[in-house]
Amino acid sequence: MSLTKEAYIRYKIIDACISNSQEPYPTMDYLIDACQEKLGHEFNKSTIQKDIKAMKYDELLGFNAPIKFSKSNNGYYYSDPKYSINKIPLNTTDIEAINSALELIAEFKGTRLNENINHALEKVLTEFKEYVPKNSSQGKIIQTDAPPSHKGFEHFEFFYNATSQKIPVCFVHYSYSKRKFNSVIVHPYMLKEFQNHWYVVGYSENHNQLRTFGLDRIYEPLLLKKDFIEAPTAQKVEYFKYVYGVYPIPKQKRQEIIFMVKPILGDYLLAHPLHETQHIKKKESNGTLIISLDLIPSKELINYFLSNANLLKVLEPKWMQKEVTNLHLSAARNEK
Amino acid sequence: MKNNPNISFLYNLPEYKSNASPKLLRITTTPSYTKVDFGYQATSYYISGGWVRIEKNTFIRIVKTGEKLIVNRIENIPIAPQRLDFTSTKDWLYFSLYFPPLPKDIEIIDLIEAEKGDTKDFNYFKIELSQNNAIELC
Repeated sequence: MSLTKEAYIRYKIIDACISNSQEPYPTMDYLIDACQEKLGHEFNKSTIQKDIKAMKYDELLGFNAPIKFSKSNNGYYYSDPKYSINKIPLNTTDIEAINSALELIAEFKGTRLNENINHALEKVLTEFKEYVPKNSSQGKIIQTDAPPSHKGFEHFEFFYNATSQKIPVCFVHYSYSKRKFNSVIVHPYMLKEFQNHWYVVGYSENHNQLRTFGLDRIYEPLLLKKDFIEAPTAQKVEYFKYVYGVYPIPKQKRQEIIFMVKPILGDYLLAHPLHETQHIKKKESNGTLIISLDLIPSKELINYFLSNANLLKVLEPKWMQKEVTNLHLSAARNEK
Repeated sequence: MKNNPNISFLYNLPEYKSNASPKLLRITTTPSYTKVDFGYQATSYYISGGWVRIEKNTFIRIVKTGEKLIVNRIENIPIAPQRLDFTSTKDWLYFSLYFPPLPKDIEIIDLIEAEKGDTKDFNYFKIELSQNNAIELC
């Protein structure tokens, strides 16, 4: 790991310790321990002191962190309790650096590399334009859909590395639906984004099957020194490619799902298909569309049908039609 | 517990059962510390989920010798008499306790918050750290 990158990780660790309201006023020893534990080697006091100084005063970093030392509590704190280095926007230098990098990446246009990163690049470019309107007096001219904070995204790099290097992991997972903690061992195959939320998909030893885990529900992942288990390719393809969303309904197989939509929703679905398997089976004279999907049913698909219940009707399979109707009736009862 | 004291091991305990409320999730043993991770789900037994805290002298007892290792670092749960009051019966808490490193060849430990305590105390007995359950950490 480069020194600069490690320094940045230390800044993030120090920031997390000082921001932690559960354990306020971390001491110098606490900060040293936290860095040592996360980075796996020793640090001395002067390194952490220099880090704190850089976070407070380094103009290039631009953090201007309001770090103070409380004598009465023998620990560090932010004089602005809402401060965190995660909230620092890009400065001019950052933007110039990104601009240079983007120009460099644009040189690869037409190559396979470009195809693979095109989607990501589009996002970066869009965000970049969001930060830098051509006419600065105009203010923000592009707004993308981004949540205000991303709990669990701090694990992204960990899971990216574990997935690419095929290393099994253990993490504590909290299920929002079951209201239960579990410590699971997973062989990660893919990181997946759906509606601005990130998930890791892999073979779970605990469940003995492919499973999806939201990064926001994961605590303290660890890398394990044990053999990596690969799932059959066909099974992975089904799971990754033929699911709308991230949580396939257990025991359901890939199947044809048919629904009827009113013209107003039909127009949207023609412009933005739900999935690559979307097929227009029929168009009525009044503009109503009969649409099919070839998918493993998922919770997200049922949620989509529910949220558009006044504009569509599920026709097949019958169990899904019944499920959507029952959930809709249940929602109506909750309103009473 | 595995013999090599220079390697870190994970003991995943998804099946461990106890009368204590927090679920004992996993134990990590390293040359410099022993870490125990817990998950607590607030209960509808109490209005607004009740509260939690941990005694500062919580310890690991090595069953074979009776030796005690006192907790030396507590993460994400208040130390008594401070306490965390939940605001609903659906709240949850993940927390960890750190102890000194375990001696080698340890097979069974107890984790005790209060000697002669009741089910409200965080007491866990006969936790097996057998070689079969140990997974080496990278």
